[in-house]
Amino acid sequence: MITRRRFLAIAAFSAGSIGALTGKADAVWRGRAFGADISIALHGPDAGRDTALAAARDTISRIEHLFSIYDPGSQLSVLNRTGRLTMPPEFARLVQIADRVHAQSDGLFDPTIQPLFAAKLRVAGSGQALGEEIWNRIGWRHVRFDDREIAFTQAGMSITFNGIAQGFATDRVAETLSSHGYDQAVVNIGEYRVGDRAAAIGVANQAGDMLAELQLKNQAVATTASDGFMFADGSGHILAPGRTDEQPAWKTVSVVADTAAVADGMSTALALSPDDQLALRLVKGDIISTAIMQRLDGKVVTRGETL
Amino acid sequence: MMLAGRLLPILAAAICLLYSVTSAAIAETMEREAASAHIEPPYALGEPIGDGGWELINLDGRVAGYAFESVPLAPLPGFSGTTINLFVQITLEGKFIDVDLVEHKEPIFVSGLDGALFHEFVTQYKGYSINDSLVVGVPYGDQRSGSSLVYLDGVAKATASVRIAHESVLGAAFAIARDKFAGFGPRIPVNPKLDHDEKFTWDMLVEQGIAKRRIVNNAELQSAFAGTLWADDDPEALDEPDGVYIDLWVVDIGSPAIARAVLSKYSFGELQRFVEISKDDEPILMIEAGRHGLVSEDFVRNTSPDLISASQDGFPVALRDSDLDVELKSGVPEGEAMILRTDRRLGFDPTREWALSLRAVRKHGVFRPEIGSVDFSVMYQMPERFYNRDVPPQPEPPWKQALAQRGADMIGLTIMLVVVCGAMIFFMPRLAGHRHYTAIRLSVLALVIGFVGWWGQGQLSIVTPLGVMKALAEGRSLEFLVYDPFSLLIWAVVLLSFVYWGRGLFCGWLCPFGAMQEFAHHIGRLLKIRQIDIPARLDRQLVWVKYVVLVVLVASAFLSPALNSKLIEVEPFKTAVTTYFVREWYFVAYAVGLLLISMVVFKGFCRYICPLGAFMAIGGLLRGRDWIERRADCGSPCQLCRVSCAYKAIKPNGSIRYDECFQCLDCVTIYEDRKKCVPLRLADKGKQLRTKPVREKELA
Repeated sequence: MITRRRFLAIAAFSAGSIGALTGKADAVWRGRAFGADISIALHGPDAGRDTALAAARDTISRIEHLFSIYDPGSQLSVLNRTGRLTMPPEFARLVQIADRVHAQSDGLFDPTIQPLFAAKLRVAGSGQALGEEIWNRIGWRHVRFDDREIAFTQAGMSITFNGIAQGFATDRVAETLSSHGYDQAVVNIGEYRVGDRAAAIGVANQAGDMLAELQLKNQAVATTASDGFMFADGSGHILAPGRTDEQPAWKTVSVVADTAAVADGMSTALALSPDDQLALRLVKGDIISTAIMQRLDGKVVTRGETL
Repeated sequence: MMLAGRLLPILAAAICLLYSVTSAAIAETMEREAASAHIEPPYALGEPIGDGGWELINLDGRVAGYAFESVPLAPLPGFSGTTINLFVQITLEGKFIDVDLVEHKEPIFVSGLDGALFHEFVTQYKGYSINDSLVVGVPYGDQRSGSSLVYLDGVAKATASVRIAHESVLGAAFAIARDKFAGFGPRIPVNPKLDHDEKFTWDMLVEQGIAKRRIVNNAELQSAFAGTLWADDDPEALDEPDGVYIDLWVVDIGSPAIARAVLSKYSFGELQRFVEISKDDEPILMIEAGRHGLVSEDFVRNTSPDLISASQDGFPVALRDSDLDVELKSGVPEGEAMILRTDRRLGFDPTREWALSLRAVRKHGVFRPEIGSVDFSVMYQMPERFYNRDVPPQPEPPWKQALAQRGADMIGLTIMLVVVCGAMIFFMPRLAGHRHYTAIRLSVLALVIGFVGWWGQGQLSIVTPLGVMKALAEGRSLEFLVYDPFSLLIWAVVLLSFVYWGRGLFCGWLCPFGAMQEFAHHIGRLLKIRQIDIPARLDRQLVWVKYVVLVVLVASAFLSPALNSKLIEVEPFKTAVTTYFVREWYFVAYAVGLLLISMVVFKGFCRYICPLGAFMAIGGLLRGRDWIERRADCGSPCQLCRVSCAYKAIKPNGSIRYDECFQCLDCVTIYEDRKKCVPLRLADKGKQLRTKPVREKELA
């Protein structure tokens, strides 16, 4: 199956930095989740490390089981199937975050584009050829939720958190490790979150060209590559309401923010943004700290702090 | 050779044409539309899953199963050398919704047998499960009740093709099941080794991962509820972030060696008594030293615990309290202890990783509080050495099944081949000289038509060498041959006979259609139909035609399988033997026509057209001896055998053309007969033939 998981363009452990990083870490754990290789680099005492890693593993599989669109037993699948869900706590928390990112990104980040994505996979053509009907099923405004319940107001809706769930998982694992005393971890679950000890993270595009090297501490970086996968009509796989068949403006967008979830969601939104205006506003509003965006012609535009 | 020379340009043109035809046909996996055509309500085609597969969506929009083509998943070469593509639909439980035949080039069904029979065969899967032991064929000696085998009706005379289709269906379904159904695999019951003798201290259990721990401190608990309704509903978690919420040890005590290491003598005895009654239950010890406490106040003993759950491969594992009082051995951590049990027969395999979860529950609000819960889990797995696995007998390989199902036929064929070959090797002169030799020979030929041909379906065909050639050229397996052990045995004997006799054994004795032609010839003689004698010169040219036919078939097999499957009809075997002449009229007309011709031109098809005969003649080059004895007088001057040879396989100089010899033994009969063989007769009369050397050229 074609995964629509965003291509992981951050090459933190690549380009020679892997030796430096793992060499300094006291332990590195590797595994798989969300269809990708993941890793955790820990600093701290030996005692308690197994406890912390067991907790981290548990956290990853729990989050995955909440938000996987491929797992028919996931809470997200239940919501998509039945149109409503009594949310477990962590589900409710991500919905709140997604709602905020949606609002702050002028609606560019929108989890409800799943039907469009599915339809585009089905018909090789532009969004218009899909029929206007599909727009009735798309739009975050059609999702009603409170602290406990979530429901779709239109039939045939479905949502995906693939633009943000990995970031959220990254945050949750970092929190879990921190609660067990390991707050100097570097967590990589598609996105990177660096704990209370600075680490160098290289940002690369899909071709492997290094775009920037960041020094992060208590920050996260997430990357969205528009050219990771294209539909037959040439439009990208990062979708937003009302924009179905446009060529993406950016090759890759990397975002640095305090949490991986926000960095993840905003990198998705900025990848759909036609210019750097949104990036500027987000930086100004302290929602993100940096956006590194590579245009189709290869030019790299950086907004916010350069580290 | 002149003829062959003229044919060359035509052949070259034909090959060019074939090539352009094939390059246009490039196989691809099915488009959505084509796949949808196979789907019946209530199912609909969902998302593609790769490898020519699709999700099947139920009316409620749920994934209900998978639909997939067999070829991308199980590309087994069919008898034609190309694959048989089937469209298979299975439910999430592994039940066959339907199986459709998409494409195949099996020669027998392309024309010959009604293709509908093949389609009918694949409809039989409906309703069975991939977990059933599905077998093609009729239960022979295996009819004992309680057999877990499910028999699908095969198609007579197409056993090989049908078996290969069957293997394709199962191969593809298993591939999907392995990929999509967690924990798929034949359930092999696992039981603890009761006599496993290993001494453990608690530390050893921890070190080996047999005792596993999960600690959830208040900070981790709090982070799981952070940013939600319940964030402030556990003051203790907020006040003491380093305090312990869950401190859980898990130990699988299914093995007595481990149970003994963690339980007091009394508890161990209790457990033994419990296990004696509940033989299929796996007991699991949990010790919790945090403030979670394992169960809620509402928990009733001997029921399923409300805050504990387990899963393996994504499926829930049913847990129940075993209602045992637990006393731990000293040295084992203290805490709230409990022994849960789960039934291994329901699929739980202690030697595969499983997850045990404890639920943290928070309530928000006083009246009708909102409940929020998070499950904290620990992964657990027992080492293999503590368990026995009842490995069920492996199903026999398909070729063994095929062999077993045709046991009686194989024995009959073996006897027949031994008798025929034995007679040839040891008693040939006596056989040929027997006064009822013709009757004996015709009886054998009748048996070849009836038993080897119609009953046993052992008419060899050029399709097989072509298939082998293609498989070898493409580096594919020759496995398809073993699905038809009856023909394979004949092939083996024929290949050996090349060394001993050349082509004759097969063409003269084991070919059912050859035998039919011989009968046709005799009938023609009985009806006193005038025989057409092909002049020697023309005969010498016509015998080359069959080689040309063979070359065209070989070329088409490689360049255009589609055309090849049509050209192969130059062999009337499928009509005459496989379908008992019940077939489209033009095929019947062709086969019957050849037999009619055989009434006036002795075995015309065999001698001039048959590509299999050409193949056999080439194989006959391996012949290691001139087994037909000749005298000095043979050919010079005596020409009796030469003119008597219906196959024109004796040269004027008296030597045998073994590449045209059908081993009919007519010349051996003459040779042995003092009344017929001229040199012998003269010798008996005390005379000698005039020995003037005659050069071959003069006579030809």
